[in-house]
Formats: sequence, C-alpha cells, structure tokens
Amino acid sequence: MTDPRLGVDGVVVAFGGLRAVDEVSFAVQPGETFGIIGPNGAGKTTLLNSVSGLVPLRTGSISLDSTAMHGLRPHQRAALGVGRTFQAAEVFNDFRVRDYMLLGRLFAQQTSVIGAALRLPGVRRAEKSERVAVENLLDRHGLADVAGVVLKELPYGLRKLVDILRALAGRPRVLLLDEPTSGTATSDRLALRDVLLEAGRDGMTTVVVDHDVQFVSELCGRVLVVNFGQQIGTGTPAEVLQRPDVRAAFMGAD
Amino acid sequence: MTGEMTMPPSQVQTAPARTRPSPRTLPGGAAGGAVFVLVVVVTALAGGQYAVYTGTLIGIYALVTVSQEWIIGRAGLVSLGSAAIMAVGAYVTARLSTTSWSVFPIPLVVAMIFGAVVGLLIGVPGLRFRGLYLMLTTLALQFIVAFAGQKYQGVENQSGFVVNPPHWGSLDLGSPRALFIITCVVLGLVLLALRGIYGGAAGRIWNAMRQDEAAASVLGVNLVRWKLTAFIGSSALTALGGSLYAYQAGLVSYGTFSLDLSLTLLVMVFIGGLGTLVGPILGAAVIVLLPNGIERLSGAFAGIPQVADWLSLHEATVANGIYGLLLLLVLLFERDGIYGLVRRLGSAAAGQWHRRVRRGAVQ
Repeated sequence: MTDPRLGVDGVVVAFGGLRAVDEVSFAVQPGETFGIIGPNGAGKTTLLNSVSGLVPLRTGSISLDSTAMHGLRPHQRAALGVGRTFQAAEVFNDFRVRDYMLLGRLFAQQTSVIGAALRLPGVRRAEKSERVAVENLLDRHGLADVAGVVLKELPYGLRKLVDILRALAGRPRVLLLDEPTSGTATSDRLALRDVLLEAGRDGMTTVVVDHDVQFVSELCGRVLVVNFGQQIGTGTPAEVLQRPDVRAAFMGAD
Repeated sequence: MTGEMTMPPSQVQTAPARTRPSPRTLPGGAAGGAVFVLVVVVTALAGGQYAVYTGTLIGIYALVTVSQEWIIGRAGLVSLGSAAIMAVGAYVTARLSTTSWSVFPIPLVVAMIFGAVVGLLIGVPGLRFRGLYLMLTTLALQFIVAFAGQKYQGVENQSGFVVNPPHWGSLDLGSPRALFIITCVVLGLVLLALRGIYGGAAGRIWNAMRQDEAAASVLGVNLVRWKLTAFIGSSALTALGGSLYAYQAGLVSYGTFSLDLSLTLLVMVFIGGLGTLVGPILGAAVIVLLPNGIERLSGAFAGIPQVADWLSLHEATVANGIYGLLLLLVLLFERDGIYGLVRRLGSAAAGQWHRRVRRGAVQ
C-alpha cells in the first residue's frame, strides 16, 4: 500500500474544553475526490482548518505524501501543495477577478521586491506571461468578460466558482473545498460540479466539505460523516447514507 | 503653486469611465508621469522663489506620505512613527554632510540604510501586534527618538545640527532650484519603483494580507516576510524623505520630528486617499498649501481688520482645525480620499459626456 496523498491520523482540535474535532482519521488517495459531510457545527470546517494549519492540533498527525505537515505554518503547507477555497466568498472582496486568479499562482511567480522596484526585464516578462496564462484560463471557463470586475460586484455563485478556479490555478497536490455550494443557486451548483468533475478527471486530489449531501454524493467516491467532532462512518455515499446512525445525525439538520 | 495642482484632472481622463472606478487600480502611468515631468520642468525653469520652495516641500512630504501609504494602504498595518523615521534620515544626513562622505548621493543612500534598520526594529513588534497595539509600539519609537535626539544633540548642539548643502565634488547642489530638482527626481524614481512593486506579485500579496491575514497565509503568503518587507521598504523611503528634509531645512533638531508631524503625515495619507500613488501626493500638497490659503483668506478679509488679524494670528490653529475637519469628512463620506473624490467627479462628468454623445447619435 502506497502512502496516501493526504493522511489525517487521530486528529484532535480543542478550543478550551470543547473538542471541535475529536480523534478523526482518514486517508485520501491520489486522484480521489473525498467528501466530508455532517450537520452544521459538526466540525467539518475546523477539520479543514487543521489541515491548512489555521488551528493547532492537540494530538494527531497530518501528512502530505508521507511528509508530516502538522508542525508547519499555513504558507509552508500551501507551498507543499495544500490548496484551499473559503467558505465565505467575501474573504477577498477587493480583488479584480484576474488579480485574484494571479494570486492563486503565487508559487509560479517572481516575488522579488527589488527586482520589481528596478523593473528588471526578467520580472516584467514573468509577470506578463503569468497574466497571459490567467487570461487564457478565464477565457476557457467563459469568464473573460468579467476579468476586470471586482469580486464583490460578482454574483455570489460566480465568486465561488472563481475561488475554485483560483485554487486550481495553483495546481495543488490536494485541494480542500470548504462549503463550495453554500449560498449558491442550483444552476451554480451544476457549474461547480462540472468544474470539479473535470478537475477529478485530470487527476486532482480533492477533499470536499459540504452540507449538500447530494452534491457530495455525486462528486465523491467515498465520504466521511462527522457529528459533534467525531467520525461516525466512512464509505461510499450510498452505504453511508443508509446507516441509521448517519440518518439520525442528519435528522432535522437538512 | 498652481503647477502641482494640475495633476489630478489629467489622471482622471486616463481612468476608465465605463464603470465606477475602483480605488485600488493603478492610474494611467504614462499620462501621470508625463504630467509630473511637465510640472517639474516648468516649475524648475519658470517657477518663482516661492513656487520652487513650496514645490520642494510638497515633494518631500509626498515622498514620506507615499512611503507611509505602503504600510497603511497596502499592507493594512498602522504606524505612527513616520516623523521618528524621518528624524533618523535627517540626523544621518546632517552628520554625514560635514564629513568626506558628504558627496551626493551618499548621505541619501546611508539614510535609507539606517531607515531600513529602524523599519526592521519596528517591524518585529509589528509581527506580533495589530491595530491599536502596533500603533502604540510605533508611538513608543516616537518618544525614543525624541529622547535620543535630545541627548545626541547635547548642550553644544542644542539648536540642532547644521546641514551642509549637498555637492558633487566642487559642484554645489544646495541652491533652492537644485534641491527642488533633486527632490523631484528622487520622488519620481520612488514612484516608478513603487509602481513596479505594486503592479506585480508583491502588490497582490499585500492586498491579500490587508484583506485577511489568515486567509492570505493559506494562499501561501509568508506573513513574517511580507510584513517585514513592507516595514523595511517604507521606512527606508521615509528616511530618504528625512534626508531631503535635512537639506531643505539646513538644520536638524529633534523638535521638528514631533508626534505632531507624524499625525499630520498620517492625516495627509488618509485625506489624499489610500490605495493609490496619486492620493498621498495630493494629500501632501493640500496640507502644505493650506496655511498659505489661510493667509490669502486673511488677506481677503483686509477690510475687516478684526477677522484678518485673528486669522493671521491663529493660522496654525485654523489649519489644524481644517485638517481635522477634512479627515472627518474623508472618513465619513469619501473613504478613497480627495483622489477618490476627484476620480468619482471625473467619471461622473465623463458619464454625462458619454450620455450626451449617445443621445446625439440617436437623434
């Protein structure tokens, strides 16, 4: 058995006395689309935050392709290949679509401040080729005409799509999607699903956290169900959703 | 000093008129640069004594406000230490101006290096603190520099260190006109450099940091590196402004670089408008020109001696009152500052124009 792309092992995240994530373990194989579902407040986003490095682990370990990550800071994990979208699309309100996309390609970019200040030809060339790449990417997804629009002026569903494309543009080794469908209409969900299915076909490894069970079921081969911070089951969507304890957890929640 | 004030309208014409312009875009650089060069050349060749003097002062303050905007407007951090950092640049320049290191531009470069070091020193607490606490640590710098400056000057230099004029071997660069040209060339180069920085990956990184630090770090932004870079770069340029200030004033004393000056500079940044390079320059121009405007106002009231006398007697107080009022108005109604207002008016006018043209086409 090879090492999983993303290994989460016995992770506990606690805020004071509250164990928001309690002994959760799962492994995502390369190219797999893995879902995490659970009622509101189950600890799904906290689990993603622990992978991103935004919250410290009390115990447990997290690895990317067998490299232990849990001691690293968020930007170091990002550099290793942990990509991420945000539950609230309004986190980065002030960017134009094209600048936000460029930010997704941070690792491909020249960030020498001195070089930029001196307007060295190498830096300018690199910036130009990055811009061309982003325009092409936007064009491919039919977003060329909103490239210059500020994110807060875009419809919410489109912002969620732009956020996912931004994350994909960085070619992460694992992509974490935090509630991609929250606040979106059905038509938006279809567009999001198509983009994610295409990414999956291209071999992207993805972890989807969402409260829309149907959306997750359509995308993911395996899902993990969490409730009150604890995992109550892993399996194919069909298997998991038939279990009485899983059904009980979702009663009244969705 | 009408020359400097001709800058904003031509910038407006280059701004896209179709939608409401966002404040966080770079204005048309070529047109802005051309206007800048034109204003500088005309003032240098044809400007009177007063125009050259005021132009130099505006240039120096513009350099400092643009540098401070780097921290406040780009990285989203607060700093109250601008005058203290200017003082460091000014002291370095004054001391070097009497040595064999006085050849231009060595004192300017050394001042920048010292400024960078101070930037690193205030940047380190900046890594831990945000908002109010960071403001307090930069405020502490202000008091430290005032104290150290006083001790450094001692009794024999109580009124300050004399600054010998800049020179290039036997060529004296100390005339007001030469200082004006030096100031404008330095400011122009700094603006070009900042345009290069803000237009690329670094500009996007600070923009992301300003909007949400944690989210930016998840995107791969090394917060430590980029906060320190902003503090170091901004402080180096602020010290450069202090260096030019020393040459202009001819005397450097700690009393000049008070908290008052820091606050005035901060007001300049906010009044001018964050997120652009033109905004802080406008803010600096307004603040430098305001006392003169009040003087003229008191001249206009010559018929009513009581008013005229009161105005000229309380010029500084009235100016401070107007700064405060402007700041309040900006914070309440026009967050993008004067430049934002100018752009909005400009795009509204352009919109009117387009509508009229379209109506003409239909008929």
